[in-house]
Amino acid sequence: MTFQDVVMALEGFWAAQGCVIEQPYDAEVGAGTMHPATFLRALGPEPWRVAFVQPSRRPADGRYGENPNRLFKHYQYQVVLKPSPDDIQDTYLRSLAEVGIRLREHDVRFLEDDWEAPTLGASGLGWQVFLDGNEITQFTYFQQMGGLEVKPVSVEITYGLERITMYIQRRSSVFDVEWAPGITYGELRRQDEAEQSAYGFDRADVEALRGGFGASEAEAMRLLDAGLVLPAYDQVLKCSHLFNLLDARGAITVAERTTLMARSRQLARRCAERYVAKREELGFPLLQVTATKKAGRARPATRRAGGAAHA
Amino acid sequence: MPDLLLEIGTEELPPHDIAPALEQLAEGTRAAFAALRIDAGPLRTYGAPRRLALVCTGVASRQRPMVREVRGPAARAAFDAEGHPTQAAIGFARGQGIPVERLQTREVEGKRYAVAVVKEGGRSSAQVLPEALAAVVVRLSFSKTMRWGDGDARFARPIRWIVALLGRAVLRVEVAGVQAGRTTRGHRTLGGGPRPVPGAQAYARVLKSCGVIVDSGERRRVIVVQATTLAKQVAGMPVLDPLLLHELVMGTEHPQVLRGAFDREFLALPGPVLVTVMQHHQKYFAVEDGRRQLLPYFLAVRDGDDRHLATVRQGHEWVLRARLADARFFFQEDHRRRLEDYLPRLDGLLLQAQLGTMAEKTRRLVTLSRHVSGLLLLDGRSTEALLRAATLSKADLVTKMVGEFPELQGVIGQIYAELDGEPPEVARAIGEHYRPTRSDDAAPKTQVGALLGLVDKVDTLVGVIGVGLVPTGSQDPYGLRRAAQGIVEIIQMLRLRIPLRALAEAAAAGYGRTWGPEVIDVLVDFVRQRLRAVLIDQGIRYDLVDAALAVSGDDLLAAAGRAQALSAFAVRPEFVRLYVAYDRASRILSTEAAPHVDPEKFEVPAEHRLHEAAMRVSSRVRAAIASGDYLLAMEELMPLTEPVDRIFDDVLIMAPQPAVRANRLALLRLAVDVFRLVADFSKVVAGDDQPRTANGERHARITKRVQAAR
Repeated sequence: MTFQDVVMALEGFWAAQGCVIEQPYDAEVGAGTMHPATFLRALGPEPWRVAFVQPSRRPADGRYGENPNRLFKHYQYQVVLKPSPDDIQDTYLRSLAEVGIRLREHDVRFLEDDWEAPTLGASGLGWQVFLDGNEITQFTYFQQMGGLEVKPVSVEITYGLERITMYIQRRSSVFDVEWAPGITYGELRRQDEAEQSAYGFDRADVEALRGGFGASEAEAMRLLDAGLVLPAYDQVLKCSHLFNLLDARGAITVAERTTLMARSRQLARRCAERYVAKREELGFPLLQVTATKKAGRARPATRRAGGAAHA
Repeated sequence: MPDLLLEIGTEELPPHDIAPALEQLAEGTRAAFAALRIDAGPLRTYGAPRRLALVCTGVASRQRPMVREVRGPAARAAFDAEGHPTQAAIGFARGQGIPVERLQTREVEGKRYAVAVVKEGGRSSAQVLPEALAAVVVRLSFSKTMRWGDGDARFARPIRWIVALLGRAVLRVEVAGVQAGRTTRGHRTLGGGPRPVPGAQAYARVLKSCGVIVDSGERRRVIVVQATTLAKQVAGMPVLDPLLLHELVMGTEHPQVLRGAFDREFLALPGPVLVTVMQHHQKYFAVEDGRRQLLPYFLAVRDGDDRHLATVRQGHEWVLRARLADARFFFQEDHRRRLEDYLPRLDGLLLQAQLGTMAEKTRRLVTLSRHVSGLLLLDGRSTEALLRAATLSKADLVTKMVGEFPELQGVIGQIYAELDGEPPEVARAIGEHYRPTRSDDAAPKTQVGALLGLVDKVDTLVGVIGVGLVPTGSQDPYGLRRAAQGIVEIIQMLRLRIPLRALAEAAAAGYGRTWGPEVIDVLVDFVRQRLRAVLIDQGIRYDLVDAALAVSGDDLLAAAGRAQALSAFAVRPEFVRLYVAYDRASRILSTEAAPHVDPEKFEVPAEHRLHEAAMRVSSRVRAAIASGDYLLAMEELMPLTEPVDRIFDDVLIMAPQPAVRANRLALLRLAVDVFRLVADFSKVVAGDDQPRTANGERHARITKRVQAAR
């Protein structure tokens, strides 16, 4: 299977599971978790099922396109289901069959992994999924987001698309992966990797980045005060990316790191709180959607409170 | 009598959580049986990644009936002169649910009362067990818990099914909204759907038929036997790291070992790097030959059967090759410079937000090492090695290799130092100064390594306590308990007579902050508490440990020596005489005592005898202590006991004349002070029933277990 076959197979599979197929967020993010369709939608009581590809930028991981395993930008396939369904592990394992991985022929393991993203005030418990010793997925039950305890709990499944296709195609360099018939990942991506690495490590204007961080932070505060949560959150994402760029450039001092991370977390927390308040004002619209439109299709929610009647 | 089966089916549990949970499950169930008066036979547990289970044979179908007596009104109020029941008796009997004519009378503390003898019939176990078992499951504690779905229940991972059977009948246990049934689930890939369990005795067999080896002992045997066989085929032995073995035993439901190979050229990498990549990152066992040299093979444990093993092997080999290629790249990159060339980069590495950088830490360690060298009068060569090792100790933290494999800190420093041609004692000291890194790890073995470890740990303790991050409860994010443990072990191993307080003050000075003396007090107390725990763990009675600690100040070596001597001496018959003499003398002490003993004021020979004995014994005890022989010191105390006994027999201490009285009290204080050179005997718990556990750590452990069982 080519890289794009894998993506399309996953899109088809998760669409059939009732997921909204979202699109990548149009801002620089370090992970699919930061897409508003994950970070914000995981908050509050509204049910939610979504899947999408998210290009994820991690400037410090750039290697000028010269390292077979490290990338400035990689692609995640992100699935979020809220509340987490009872049979989600089985569903996930069935999705692997869609990309040609027959479980009986392999060794699939769920290895304990606790996840934490301090700048987002987010944490969760779950596993790294290993296929024949090769990590292919992060599987996480969110517990906190933006410093808020989440309820219901979302499950986040993040497929490492490069890892999976390298394994399926048995390529030892990501750049040799066949993206589409006759065209490789390297042919599509290597120039960007080289140039972005050169930018991140060598050319980025530190003062401009630093100024940008302050400006975005101030803008985020101002927008939050004005009750504009989503634009404010965009500024939070900008801050996060600028921080990563400064970090890759080696421009963040020891003392600065702690304070910048604390400032990011503070912004994320305020966004989370404002978002929940705003959804509440709107009457948590997606609660109504599931109650009416999906009534025929949705499975009855399992009651988990103690003493609940059992059918 | 029927058998009980309880299985909690979950998503993959963290391997290290399983055994402790099973222990709690067993103890909790036993406690529930006891509380419910249900007789039960032997009980055993089973654990695997997706299940915690318990089987108990011969569980009584009913509770034992219970007879209890309830005291009612006084007999005079309950029965009139003719012995007929009064209104009070009638009301009481009704309240207890028995006919009034069944009331009896009993004498309690000299008064007669009406008494109701109430028989409580047993309810059926099937009625009372479900709620009790559910409570046991809910109260299992884990290192971390989580919520899932839209529920509020917490568990290590989501609970997906429960099997609860008493005999052939389902017990209606419910936990986290999941109702128990008789259906279990087999192995993820070998299992093939839900499977009914007829009863407890069939449990292990049913699971085996759907691909799960539920007995962890059997899984362990499978792994060890297969690994050994596969290694033997290539003339090797598996390196069966116990932690990894446990993780794999608890991380697989049907283990299958397979052997893979990697390119021989990777053997040029340092051994610890290869082992770390295989063991920590890929969860493989390494293979070595008879001379303990690594062979280019690995043993992976698959959770599944032996079909399609070639595909799985190919996958593992492919991943390991990429990992080792990375490691080789890091090694080559790192080796372009000498270890000391990395030092400037420590400026950019944070120790802890409030504690500055690793470069600052390094400077403190060098200064403190120089201080220690002075305190211990180290020779020039050792001093030089210690200072050099301190200088280089943290340099490996900024190498690519440690960046990728943080668990190799120290080890990589040692390897690179050796490659750079640093003196062997310097390299070894760098390699072992973090030890002990786990509770079952040993302290550094070389003198330079131990001293470097000591200053590193003291520096950490002072800093972390200084900024107010003293660990509370079970939380200890900076590893202070392990650091304190390391200090205790190093001081005992090197037999260091080093004043901890002075060392801590020197360390605090290195931070250049204005911390008050309480920081040093907290540190000394913290380390003393670790020593106390270590000694109690060695089997010394807690009261003897306390008696030793009370007179040892910050001299840990002396405290340990005293405690060990006391423990050996306390079993001898003469110990009682020592204790009694001390007790008599110390009880009568008061502030009336004169500042000095004045022999001129002695009136009877007993006073002279005690004074002479105290002077003589004092100098002999001091000599024994100076040579570190605390057992001898205790023996030297013995000649003091008779004169003490004698003085109480011959004279009235509290003489009517104030001057004589004050002098006699001063004399007794002198004697007590001699005893206290060895121990504070007032801490010793006397008598035949010395508490072995009373309020010591063991007691705490037992309490904890009892709480878990509740």
